[in-house]
Amino acid sequence: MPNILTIAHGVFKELVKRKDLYLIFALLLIILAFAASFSFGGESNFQRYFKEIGISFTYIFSVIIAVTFASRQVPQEIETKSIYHIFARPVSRLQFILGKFLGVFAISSASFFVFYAVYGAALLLRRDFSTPPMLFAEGFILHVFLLAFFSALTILLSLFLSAASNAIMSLVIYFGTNWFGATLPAYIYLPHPELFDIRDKIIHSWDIVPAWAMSLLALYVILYTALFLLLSYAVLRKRNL
Amino acid sequence: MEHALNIEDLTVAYRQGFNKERLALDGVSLSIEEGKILGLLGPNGAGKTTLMKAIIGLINAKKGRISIFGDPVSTKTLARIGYMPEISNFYWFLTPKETLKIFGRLSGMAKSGLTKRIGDLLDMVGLSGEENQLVKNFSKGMAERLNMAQAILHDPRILILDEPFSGLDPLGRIHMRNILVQLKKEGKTILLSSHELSEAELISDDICVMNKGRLLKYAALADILKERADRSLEKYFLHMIGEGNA
Repeated sequence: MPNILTIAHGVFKELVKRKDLYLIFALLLIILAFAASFSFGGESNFQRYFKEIGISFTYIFSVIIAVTFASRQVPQEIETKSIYHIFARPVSRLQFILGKFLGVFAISSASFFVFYAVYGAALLLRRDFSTPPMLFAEGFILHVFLLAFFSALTILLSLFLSAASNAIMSLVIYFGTNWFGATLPAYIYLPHPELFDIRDKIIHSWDIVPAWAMSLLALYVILYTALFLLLSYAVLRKRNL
Repeated sequence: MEHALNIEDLTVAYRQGFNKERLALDGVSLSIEEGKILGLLGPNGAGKTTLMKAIIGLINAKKGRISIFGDPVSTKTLARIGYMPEISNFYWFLTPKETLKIFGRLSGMAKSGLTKRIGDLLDMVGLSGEENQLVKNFSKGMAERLNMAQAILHDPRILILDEPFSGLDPLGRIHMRNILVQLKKEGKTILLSSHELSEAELISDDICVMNKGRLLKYAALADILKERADRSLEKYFLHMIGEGNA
């Protein structure tokens, strides 16, 4: 466990120092400010419009962070050979994969926390109290599940694809499952990251997700994340570096 | 004297296409006595780096056995090894201090004492004063010094150094040589590869010549030099790899 945490800490520390995060955050602020400046179709329509724009970009930007950061982690280490410094120490390849995953998951979740807090604050400033706090919290938790899912999936794909094609592929999966859902061929056999997206509930202030459904979704994400990470380990274990 | 490192019949093959393989190491066997410096010489593609990577476990051997102080190489035994790869790339957005902290923790070092050890090491390799600069701003020579620091950070008993003199200016080379001599005095066993024959000659106890994945000669430096009237390691090396008329 200490090795996993050390690797994760290193990933977190390095990514925090990059400009990417702050650029995305600035972009989100601009979009929220831009959305808030619009006014059309009556107050209730406008409230809904603002809620939708805000949460959509909050979700999308955090997924972009998870996917772009996760897609670079392992291939970059192999390409620059900085991975040698890690594996010349008592660190197993499984610990390496878990550390990288944890680091990316932590940074994307932390960024999402900040984005979501800003979005929540913007709603409060606009005196929009329509979303039940419990539903708002569930929206956060489920999206954190989704970030775990995509961080793990992207790390697995990064062992086969270049960083750019991996990021595109992961985002296609994210948008594809969200937009097309059940209309996709072989839908039943595919993983369903769209299950974690309760944007409509939040926008329209519908009922909260029952606890049993939240528990099942937690189990679902744990199983898929574990599967992706174990497959990543199986691939990396055999690889000559 | 105890063997620090023992390699028996090590064979490594790289896959080329679906069915073909290329032998990168072909039945290499050697042992290094504790406290000695073994200079590994060979032209590009001789298998020096492959041998080092196989010892660390970065590549899987097709055949053979590697042991460190009698124990088969495993993730745990790596704590006794310090490895300096030929290419010194680090995390660009971390400082050398942060970088070494991560490597120290991964080597199992306790938090207490690590900061002092890092300070001492940066001083030793000539990077004190640069500890808070981002690694991305480092010159090649500075990165090479950091590379050396990470290899000896956890006070390993064996050092495996791949081209430790590459990228260093003459002053840097002298500094590196002094560090290696100091480490030998401390009883470290060192396996180093080098294209710089003069450097290898200055510090090695034994010399090993490799070519095309095979070990051609392994002997004490003094004995090798005795074999030649001109006492030239360079000419001996060229002769061994079939490039010299001498």
